[in-house]
Amino acid sequence: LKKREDWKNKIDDYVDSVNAMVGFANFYRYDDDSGQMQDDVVVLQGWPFTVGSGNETKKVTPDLAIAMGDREPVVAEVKKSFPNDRELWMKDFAQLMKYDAALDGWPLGPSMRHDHDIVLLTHQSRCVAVTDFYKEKLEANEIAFSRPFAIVEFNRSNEGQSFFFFRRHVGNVSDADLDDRLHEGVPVPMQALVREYSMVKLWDSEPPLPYFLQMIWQDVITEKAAEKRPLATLQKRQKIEIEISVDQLVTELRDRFSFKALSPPGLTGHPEIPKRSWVLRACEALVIAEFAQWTDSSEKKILTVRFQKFDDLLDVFIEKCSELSGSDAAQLALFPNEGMSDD
Amino acid sequence: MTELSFFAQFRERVLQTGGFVREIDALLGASPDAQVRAVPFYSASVRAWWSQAVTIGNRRISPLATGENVGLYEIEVNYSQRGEPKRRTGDLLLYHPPEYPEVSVAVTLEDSDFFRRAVGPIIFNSYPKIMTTFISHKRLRRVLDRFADSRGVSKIVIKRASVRVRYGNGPDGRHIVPIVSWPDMTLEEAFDWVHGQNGWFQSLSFDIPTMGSTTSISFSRQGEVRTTGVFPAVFSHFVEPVCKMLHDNVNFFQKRSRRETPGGMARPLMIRVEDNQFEDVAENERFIGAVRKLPKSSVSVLHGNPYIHISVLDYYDGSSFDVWVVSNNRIVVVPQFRGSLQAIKRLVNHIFDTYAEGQIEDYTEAAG
Repeated sequence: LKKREDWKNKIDDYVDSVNAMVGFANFYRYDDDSGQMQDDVVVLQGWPFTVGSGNETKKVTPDLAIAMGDREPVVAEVKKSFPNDRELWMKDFAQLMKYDAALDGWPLGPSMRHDHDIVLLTHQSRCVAVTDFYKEKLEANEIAFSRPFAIVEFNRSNEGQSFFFFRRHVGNVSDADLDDRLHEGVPVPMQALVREYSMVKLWDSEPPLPYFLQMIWQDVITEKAAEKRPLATLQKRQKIEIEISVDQLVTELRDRFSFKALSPPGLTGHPEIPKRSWVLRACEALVIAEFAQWTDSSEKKILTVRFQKFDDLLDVFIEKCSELSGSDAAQLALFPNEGMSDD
Repeated sequence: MTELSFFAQFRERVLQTGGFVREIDALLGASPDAQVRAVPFYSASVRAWWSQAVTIGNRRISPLATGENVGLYEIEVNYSQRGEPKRRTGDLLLYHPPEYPEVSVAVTLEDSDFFRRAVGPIIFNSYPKIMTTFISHKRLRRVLDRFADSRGVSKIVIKRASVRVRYGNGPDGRHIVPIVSWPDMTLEEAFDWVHGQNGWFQSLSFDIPTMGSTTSISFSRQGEVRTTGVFPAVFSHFVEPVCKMLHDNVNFFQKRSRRETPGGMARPLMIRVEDNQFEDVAENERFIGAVRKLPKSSVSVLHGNPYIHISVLDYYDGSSFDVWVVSNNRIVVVPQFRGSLQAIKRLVNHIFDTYAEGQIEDYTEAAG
């Protein structure tokens, strides 16, 4: 039971992180005056930038980058939870300080005239402690930013309707109006963003396995199965085999559920989200759970799925992953980094 | 004139003129025991599908003749009664209203037994190829009121009603309890009673006086109408509005799958329910319980409290949806890459049937 609860909490955290990013990006996308999304605002997730020059270049991939034609762009890192050991927090600030440099690779190219802001988005429950940590380290000259930097808390709240609430704890963002609003705290009604929440489900962090499997089974595998035969007449325990490649799963999921959905249609160069390695691990889980087998067991490029109908897909995969996470072999193959983030 | 030649002439005239409404009315006038049933439905493919003989289960549909807007078919049904094999045949007319190209009306003069065994199952069990409509409680009342006004009938008295009551408030949602009654109530009393019971009319029957006799009419939530007379009036006050309803539904619900929208942009829709419907968090469980009862689907709950986020997969055609309740009076349905109009309609109907009826609107970002 505890394992099931753990999975549910991880799914909740993952979804909250995506929704927080979508909500924060909306401060820049949405024009209050016109009531419309602004065409010249491009939201990028996991977008690779280059810092440095000559032989000293490095790739950095902030969680969120918001490019705007005539305003200061923003890069943000979202970190819903921090470990108990405060010393480990320095690693996250070191990551943020890597963004405190000229970033090469903005998709709007020369039209980007301004330098960028840097924002840490973190959950309300940790925000005070993280802000205190930041101030201490700033005082000790262990943390320094030359560009505008702010720590912004987020949390869900419910007062008649559900909100994501954002409030700036320390620092500033360049947009003075937004800065003022964030100082007071801004409730963003979820009602305003359910379209986006439904389109963007994956970010540059491996999703909890049951959630990812549900997405794969529901939105890609079922569609392939439905093309093969009508599913309404398929009996509960009856199975049909369908073949699907790992590459096709990657492409379909990227097109459907990554931040690409919030980008202009012509924009190319999106990062591979979901990563192929995540999809491969999900396929491996289906094989271990005996829902599928590799068509080409040596190369592991094509999967034969034994499709069947379930009444509650997420519950089935939470149950299965709870069973699997108790097995040593599955643990090695499927759960190498329970912390999920690749960065 | 033999019955055979009578119907042969009827067919001929209908095919030539397409004017089957008056022809049927004449038939009803000439035969006191006759009745006609009409069921408008949506189908993008029925003309092509039935252009040759087709078998659906133990029923066979054979085209007899087609005109510009009408087609005549013979239906054969084989069944067993008390262990004995039985076979019946009957006629079915399909009318295709020119103004609503995706809508057809199944019309039959056959008796109730034939309708129940042959025509009804073909129309109601051929989802998603054939989809009937769904008439909300309020709209049903409006249709009946307008009909009564048009006939100068001050009071319609309900003779027989089939009612469904959303019963119970447990965590597994509400049960639907069927009730059949012979209330002898006026329309107003009957609708108030059903509303008070948190239910809806599956069908209702009533009589109206016509030319010194009585015409019996029944009308169902799926838009099926049966009458023993005044067919032109019944057609214009029941059949035509339902055809328009189907047409409007098709326009509203179609092209909402992300595959069909520019840039894969989602096209959500909203069901506006009563203010403060979801004020009590216990209502969340009732709603989730009701959605979980959607047949032939997977329903996964991603979040249940304080807001609701459900992922629904329709096994009829693989359509999938995100369903959200993030304010007190709105349910938002977001079709994913596959979100057929039939699947959206089925989900919305299910919510109306098992949870509560509401006003369907295009999604707007504004909360409240």
